[in-house]
Amino acid sequence: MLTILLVYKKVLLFELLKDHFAKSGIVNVLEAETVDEALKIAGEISLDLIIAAEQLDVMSGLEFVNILVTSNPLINTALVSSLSPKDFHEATEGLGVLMQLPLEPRKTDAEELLQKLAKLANLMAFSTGNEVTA
Amino acid sequence: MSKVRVAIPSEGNGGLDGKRAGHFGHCDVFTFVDLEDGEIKEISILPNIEHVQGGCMVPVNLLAENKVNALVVGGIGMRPLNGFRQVGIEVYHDAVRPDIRPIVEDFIAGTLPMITENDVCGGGK
Repeated sequence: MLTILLVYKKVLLFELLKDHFAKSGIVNVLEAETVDEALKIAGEISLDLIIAAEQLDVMSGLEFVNILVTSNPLINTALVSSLSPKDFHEATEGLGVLMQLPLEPRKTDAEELLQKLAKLANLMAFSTGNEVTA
Repeated sequence: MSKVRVAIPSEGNGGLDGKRAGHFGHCDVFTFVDLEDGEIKEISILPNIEHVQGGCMVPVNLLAENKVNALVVGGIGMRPLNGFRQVGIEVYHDAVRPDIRPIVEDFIAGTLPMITENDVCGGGK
């Protein structure tokens, strides 16, 4: 079971994501409306992914991810952003953001996120068993 | 007796006479230098794992699993840097010299600087 935290204040923003996650049967969805609440949850619960809106209550989603990589670098992130893919890549370089989400994330985005998380889980498992050979 | 394993992201086959990779996440292999009381005891090579977007913690886990104590990079992002710090791997920095051997010699001499937040790559500074 994956645990995914959604951080946003616009009530309907992540409805399609939530719907797909619920149908997948493998995702436990948590929600936070504020940065403080999200950071508190991140500090207390093992999360596989945090999905943040472009604008949060007191800062941008990008600023939130910047804080998160310092306090909880092991948590994967996805970020809603209106930037072009090129500008997004530049803005988030070094932050290890798993995926840029469109302003209105859809079912296909949820599917892609789960695929990316599955691939990462495989790579992490492989990295655990991979030892010096030469 | 002090034992330290140093990892250097490397191009091609790596090795003490090899070349460093510019960014740790995209290196071909990691050259491991095992030091004991400041002397090189063994050189070994570990292939890197496929790098994907958002996969910064894969090499962190890989090196932690292989008992690495220190890493020398030419470039690294904020998230993996903090990941290494969290698992107790010290990260050193040299963005200039491409050869592995002088970097190792400086590490042994204690003259290689640890990386700072000002040295990280990209928008996450």
